[in-house]
Amino acid sequence: MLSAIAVLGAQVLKGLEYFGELSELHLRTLVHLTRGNVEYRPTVEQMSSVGVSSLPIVAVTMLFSGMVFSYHVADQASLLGASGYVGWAVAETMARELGPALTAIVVAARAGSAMAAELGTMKVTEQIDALRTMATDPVQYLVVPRYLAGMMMVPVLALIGDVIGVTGGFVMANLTAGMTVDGYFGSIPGNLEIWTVAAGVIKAIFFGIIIATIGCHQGLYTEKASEEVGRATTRAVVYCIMLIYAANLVLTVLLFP
Amino acid sequence: MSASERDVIKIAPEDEADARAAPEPLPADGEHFIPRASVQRQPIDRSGEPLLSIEDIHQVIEGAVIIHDVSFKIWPGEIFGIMGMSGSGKTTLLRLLIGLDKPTEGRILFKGEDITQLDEDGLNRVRKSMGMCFQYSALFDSMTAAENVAFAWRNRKDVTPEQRSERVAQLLSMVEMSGTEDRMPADLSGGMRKRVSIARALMEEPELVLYDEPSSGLDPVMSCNITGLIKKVSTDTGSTAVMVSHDVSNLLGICDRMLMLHDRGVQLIGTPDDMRASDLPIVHRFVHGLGAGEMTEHCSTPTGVIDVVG
Repeated sequence: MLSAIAVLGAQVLKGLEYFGELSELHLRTLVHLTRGNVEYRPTVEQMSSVGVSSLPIVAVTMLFSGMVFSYHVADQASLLGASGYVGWAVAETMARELGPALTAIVVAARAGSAMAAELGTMKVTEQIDALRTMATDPVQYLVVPRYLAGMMMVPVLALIGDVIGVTGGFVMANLTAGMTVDGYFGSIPGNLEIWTVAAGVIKAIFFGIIIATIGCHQGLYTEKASEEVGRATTRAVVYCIMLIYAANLVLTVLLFP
Repeated sequence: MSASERDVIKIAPEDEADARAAPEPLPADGEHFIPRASVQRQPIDRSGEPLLSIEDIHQVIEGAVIIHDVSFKIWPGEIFGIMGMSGSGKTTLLRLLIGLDKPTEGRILFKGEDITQLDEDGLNRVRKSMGMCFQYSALFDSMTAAENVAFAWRNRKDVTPEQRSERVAQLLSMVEMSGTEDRMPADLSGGMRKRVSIARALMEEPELVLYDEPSSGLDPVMSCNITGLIKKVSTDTGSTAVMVSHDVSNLLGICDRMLMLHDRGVQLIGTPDDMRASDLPIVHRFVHGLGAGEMTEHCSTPTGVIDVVG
């Protein structure tokens, strides 16, 4: 019994230590941002890596998710005589939940893991130490660009994902329920509020910050052994997904009271 | 375990192995040999203030004492060697000198300023007067050789791109790497990467350059070549060099003074001649490459234990 309590206590301490490290890294990143310590070139490179490179997989994910969701909604709506609201239902769900959440999960798997792997490799090969010997703070040079890229590009991807998902939904509704362009898209402008879209964007901003912070933290805190890079990469994805879901719940409650 | 389960592998003496091996051609990638003796150095003036003063350093990592009560001084312009067996704390000591780690106790004075009391901003100010070459070069994978060398100047507003390119070309020429500006680190040999890392460390015209195992992973010719280059660079630029290595012959060949680290502390500080003449057992064995008799390593395998005798 005592050993079980000791194990539990150790895990709690480990968890607190982890969140302490994350908070410290986040705070140091914010300090650099407020001082304007932003490196232009790496930031643009990271925006390309997080945004442009993630676009194909985000597009595919959102297209098929929109199609599947539309298939179910169109079927149920026809039974209830509410076929005229299928487009709005798909758009509302995309903007509120599926767009930001699914985009974040995909970006976490693709870009969050890449951040952990890249920084972890740099740590193992002493490139992080080399930065410090050249009077460069690794947080400023490596974390700030990724933080900005995550914060800016995940919302953009989520918005693009919303549009692709709604369009995919139309294709499916047209094929299975014979819905027209007017019938599907016509229900969106009058029912979808701008706040719903904005709330989805706000969620995506937080998700982008979570991905960048966790990915960079796992990389910077990699132990100096090559197999640890793989473990850090896996942990980055797992922790990102867990925290994105938890944050999604909190943000949903706060944004849609 | 019975004796029949133990295989014994006798390693052939090196001279026999060398006799069988065909002579290797000299590298054809522009890495020319720089004889160590060809660089003439001026005598070091030790009457003034030391550049670096290490006072009673202790370093404990996770309960293990790595360095105990280490003190020494390094004067401007010196080439100072730190030698010792693997795990003797050489690299730990080097990391302390540039502030990558803080000592558990003791002071490190760089030009009279105690760097152990500085925060990261203060250390960054001091590090502009220092450069470091890492054991495996630590070049940035995603940048070309020229971008690696120019890294420290990437945000300088007071220099034009032309001046930056000129400085990079000058440094790459100094380390005999002209023409490799656009090559990525992955396309360079180990010796070439070492040279680029030396050029990168010299970008800010440092007063002190730290070299961590500069000959590690290199063949004897390239190893001698790199240490010759370090001597040449140090002499040409007037910078002070601190070089950590267990390659004793190279250290003896280029250092003004040396330090032997063993058993967590300093065994001897002196000139290469002092090291050669020392009758301290560990220094004598280390300098003259003497083992403590036949050494056997045990290697566990799924079928038993193999004794490797060398």
